[in-house]
Amino acid sequence: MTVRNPRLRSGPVPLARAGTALSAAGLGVLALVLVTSWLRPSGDGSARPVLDLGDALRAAPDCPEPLVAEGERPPVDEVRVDVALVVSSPELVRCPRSYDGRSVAYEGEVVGAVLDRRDEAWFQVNDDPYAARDAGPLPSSGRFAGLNTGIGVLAPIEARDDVASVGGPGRRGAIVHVEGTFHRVDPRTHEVGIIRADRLRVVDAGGSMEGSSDPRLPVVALATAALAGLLVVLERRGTRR
Amino acid sequence: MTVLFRPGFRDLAAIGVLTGRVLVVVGLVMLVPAALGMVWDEHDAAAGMAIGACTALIPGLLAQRYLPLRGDVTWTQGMVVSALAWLVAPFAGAVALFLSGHYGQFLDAYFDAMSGFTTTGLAVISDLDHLPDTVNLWRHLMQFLGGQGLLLTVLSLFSGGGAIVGMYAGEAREDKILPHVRRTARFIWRASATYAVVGITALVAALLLAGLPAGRAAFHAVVLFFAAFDTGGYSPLSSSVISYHSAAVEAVLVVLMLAGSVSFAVHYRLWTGQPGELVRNLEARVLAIVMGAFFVFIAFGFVADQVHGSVVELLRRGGFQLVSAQTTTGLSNVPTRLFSTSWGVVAPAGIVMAMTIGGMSGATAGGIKALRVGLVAKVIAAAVRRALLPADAEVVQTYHHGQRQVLRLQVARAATVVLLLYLALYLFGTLVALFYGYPLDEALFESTASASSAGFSIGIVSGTMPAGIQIAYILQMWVARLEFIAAFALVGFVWSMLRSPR
Repeated sequence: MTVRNPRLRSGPVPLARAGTALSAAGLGVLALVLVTSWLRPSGDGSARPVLDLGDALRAAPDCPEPLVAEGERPPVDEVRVDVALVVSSPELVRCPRSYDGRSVAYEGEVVGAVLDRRDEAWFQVNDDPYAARDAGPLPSSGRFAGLNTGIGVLAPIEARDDVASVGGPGRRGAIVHVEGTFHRVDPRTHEVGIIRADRLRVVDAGGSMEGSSDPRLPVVALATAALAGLLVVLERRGTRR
Repeated sequence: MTVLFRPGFRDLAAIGVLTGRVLVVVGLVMLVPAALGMVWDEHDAAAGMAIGACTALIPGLLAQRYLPLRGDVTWTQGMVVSALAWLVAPFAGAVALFLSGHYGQFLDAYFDAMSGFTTTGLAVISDLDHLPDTVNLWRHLMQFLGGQGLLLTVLSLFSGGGAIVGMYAGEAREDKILPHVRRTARFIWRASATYAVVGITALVAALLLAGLPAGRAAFHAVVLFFAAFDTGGYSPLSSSVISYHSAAVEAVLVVLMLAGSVSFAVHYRLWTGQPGELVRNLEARVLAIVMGAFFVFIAFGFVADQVHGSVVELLRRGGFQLVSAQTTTGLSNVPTRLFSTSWGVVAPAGIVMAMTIGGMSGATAGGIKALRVGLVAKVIAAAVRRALLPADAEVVQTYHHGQRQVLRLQVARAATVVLLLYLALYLFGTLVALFYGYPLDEALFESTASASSAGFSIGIVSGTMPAGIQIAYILQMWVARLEFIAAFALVGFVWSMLRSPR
């Protein structure tokens, strides 16, 4: 049984009108999505990043054997030649115990800020596809490649003088090659998952990002702002009356 | 006999006007980063932000001008507005995000906008580290708006309408700190502004000490304040709090996260010289007990799984992550992928349990809420006492929440129902991720992080995540922010509108 709300004078909305209104709202949303898709900076056409990081979660991690088993002391009378392993940040984060205490070689873009700490300096070095020298950051390359990934690097303070550019809004950071020791937990600073660098060498100086402004954006912005301004004026005139 | 009121034109008009006000507020706030973008020479980003602002302002202003709002607004209308506002506002916010060029699909931008407004903190943005400051500021302003309360902001700025109480409650705020809801809203703003001044100043000092240049320190301090106090969890950099390598920064953030997870009703009592409320309040007691228990749990896990051996590491990593999880903030001072690759099983379980419970009701935090956990615990305690006492004994359970109150059946039932609904919501997200082939422990973790608005991610949430999981998490964030009732009200409203008349 349907009971009309006695407080409503205009009566219930007919089903056809309700359906039409909802459909119109849906079409409006779709139209807005299409317009913004046309307006936004054009990329390489792929709507989704190339790398499927989700596969890494579904598959069981295949980590190399740790240098020293957990809880054991490293053998003191053995001669060990510790060759620097070329690593990536996803490997280090996926298998931190396997790389703990090992010499590693790592390359990526310096982003964020270089933080001075007395005789050392912190660098955040990303090795994601946006750090690649042939592609670069998303705003200039237009290539979607997922989230940023990187590792904190603690290097001698002298290294900061070689890094002229730090990646951020409108800037490509210097690409650096780092050789040092990976620590799951650094014994001195207690920082987690870092590389204590013996050597940091700048491979690419970085600089301002290239890319031209899209002329459509300011035109549409001005047009919509004018319409919004007109509505404000009309609203104020209506309120005054 | 089923009695259902069919919505009429007056209902739709009232809902349209009030939702339009929400859009106007969102649009006005978006003008702030748009203006700053021009100052910072980020012209494309500023233009995108301006377009986003107008996308919100134009329909909002049209609704104010052409839709009539006559007479009192009903409780149902207020509830429907709450639910609709939390769907529509992220849509407007997503337009500016999508125009930045850092999102592959509009759904990705909508996901991040919903995550921002609901102060969850999960993100699928591509190349955050090269994002213009204009857009980065908007990401954090969404957390601020959402944490303070969309409807609360509207109530503070617009006058009139009997929907005040319905809208306020629909946004899952039940504390009437002061007799009039609008005065309550203004107190919340005053308290937040005070915390902002103190918190941002402290953060600037800590970030300068950490080595950040002055200009960057100021920007990071402002956005980190929004992330911490509004328990949002977005960070200006992809590596979150790890980027700063600073115990001082982490300490300030811990204080802000805790302050944000304390209900504004408790803040009011502290402000008016009643510090005893922190000791007597049921929620404060529950939080103290669970956080203590979870800290021991995490410490045991660290030792048993050989994660961290020193007290410093335990306090800094375990303590910070526990506070971030319990307050459902989601800021992290370790790579969160380490939860599954390096933290063993016990410590991450402690993090999940902390996220599940969450913070206080009437605060910016998410989760089931300490109040409901406390009330259900009291219900269980009363049942046990009843079983042990003579049959004709009367058991009266009381609790302190602002004042001493008797635990009534209606309150107990409501707390239990919402708790069960939260558990069902966590299960829903877990099942969706399992369907897509993710392992159980990671599916459960990510679902809990999404539904409790904690925002930790161990890898499922990314730019490559399947659209089905994205939509499921969006629904989780939306429903959880409203604490179910307003969402059910909207569904019922639409159903009654589309139902054929008999």
